[in-house]
Amino acid sequence: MRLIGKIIIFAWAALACSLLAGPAFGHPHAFVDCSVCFVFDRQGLVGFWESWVLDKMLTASVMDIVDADHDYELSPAEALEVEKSSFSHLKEYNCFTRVLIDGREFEAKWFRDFAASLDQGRLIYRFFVPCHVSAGEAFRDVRVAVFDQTFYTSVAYGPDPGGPDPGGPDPGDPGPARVLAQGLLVKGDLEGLQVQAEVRQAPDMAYYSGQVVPRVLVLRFRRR
Amino acid sequence: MSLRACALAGLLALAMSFPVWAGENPFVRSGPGPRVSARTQEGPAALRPVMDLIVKAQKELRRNLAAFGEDLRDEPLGASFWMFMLLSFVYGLVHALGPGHGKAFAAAYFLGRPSGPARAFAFGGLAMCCHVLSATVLVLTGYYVMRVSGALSVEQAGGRLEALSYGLLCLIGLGLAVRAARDLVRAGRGREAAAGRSGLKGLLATALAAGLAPCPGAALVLIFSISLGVLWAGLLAMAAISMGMGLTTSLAGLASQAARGLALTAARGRGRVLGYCAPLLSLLSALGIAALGGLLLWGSPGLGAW
Repeated sequence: MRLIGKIIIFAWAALACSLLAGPAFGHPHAFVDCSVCFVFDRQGLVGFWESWVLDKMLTASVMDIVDADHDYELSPAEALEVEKSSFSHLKEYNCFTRVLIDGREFEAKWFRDFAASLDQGRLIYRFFVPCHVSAGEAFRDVRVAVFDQTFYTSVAYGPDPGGPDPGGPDPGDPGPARVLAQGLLVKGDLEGLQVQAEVRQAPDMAYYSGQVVPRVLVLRFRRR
Repeated sequence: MSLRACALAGLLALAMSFPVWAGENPFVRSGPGPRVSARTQEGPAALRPVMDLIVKAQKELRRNLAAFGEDLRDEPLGASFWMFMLLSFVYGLVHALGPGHGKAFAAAYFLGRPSGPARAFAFGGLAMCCHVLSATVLVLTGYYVMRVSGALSVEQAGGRLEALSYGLLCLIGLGLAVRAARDLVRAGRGREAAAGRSGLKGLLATALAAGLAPCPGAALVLIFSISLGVLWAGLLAMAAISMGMGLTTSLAGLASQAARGLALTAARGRGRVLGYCAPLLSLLSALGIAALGGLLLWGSPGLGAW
């Protein structure tokens, strides 16, 4: 019995040691609060805006590169530089955005109308992801999860940072947004639609050796 | 093979089973990087709540660190300063709880050789001092020597140092494995086994190599401090962070020492098993260091930079 006890203790100690192991980097160094606003027109879903609010230290590292006049303000020219020096890199990571439409993978690779602003020491990135899904009699199921698989960044869904919408009042960006869940907003022509929304854990999207389970924004809609 | 040996093999296998992701900052990365796949990754679910807790704690710590850092501009040596230092220490401690920061190498190193707590603390302290110092030097060089950007400096040189660190660890592990194999042969011939060697050289080499790559977390705190105009506080925070991380890494070494003690205690009374157990642990730990270093080097994007 004593020997079995020792073995169990040893196994636990070994497991504890092994669980502490891993790559030298990769655990989160950056923190982003994200909100997603789905935009509808008469046909159905047009796409979605993503708003990212970077934490202050991550902001400092980006400002370190783009703040040419060292005033820690974002001039129009410096805001454009953010797109070139920061956002362009994020595109190579699909902007951390994974989309499933009716259970099928939709590779988000087009990102437009990027705008950067600085609010209370935190950079805000906004951009639009075109994703057309027409509404029908049956429910359409659209799932969007925003997470950094390298785990350099930890993304949490939070309230929309507010402020003017980038891109202006174009057909893809009509009217004010309505909050349906934490980090999940809808806007546009929702008159003839039945919309359901929730935010849930997505174990099937687990990453970082399955140690991190992201949350997915689930949007279901159909014609009334 | 005994259950203990199986458990040990399991430890090393698990230690090496983690994916090799790059530590690049995707927000400022200066070169091409890996495209992220949509593949689902499997792994033990038991750790998920712990990881979740670590992430939440770090986020909260970083938020408070930023707030106290901003207060330093108005009140450089007031309560905010002490809170900034205290939170830097705690941030280091919690930050190092997540995967990485030399814990795997500390665990593998101390599993294979007899040593006391002082050695574990020396290993953790040295490795993490080097880890943070590396980031500090790169940030300051970027700012004040190259006059470009501290963040870019860390990104550009960090990858190379990371690859160098893994390469050195692989070589050190192989060197230790050769010595351990000799001890195992001696044990097989009935001679007195060396029971693992605990020379300071091996400890120094492993700890310094493990800490050679710069810590991006510490670099971000320093860059933030510079942006606030409180470089001096940022430098002091680097010391506090390295102490916190050093403590966590040391604990991994201590846990490994305890695991080794248990294994040897379980083998006591079985003369022949005990004779093999110590040099076998030593060999496995050295191979673990070499394999882990090699795997991380293989996946390191900084390898191409050399």
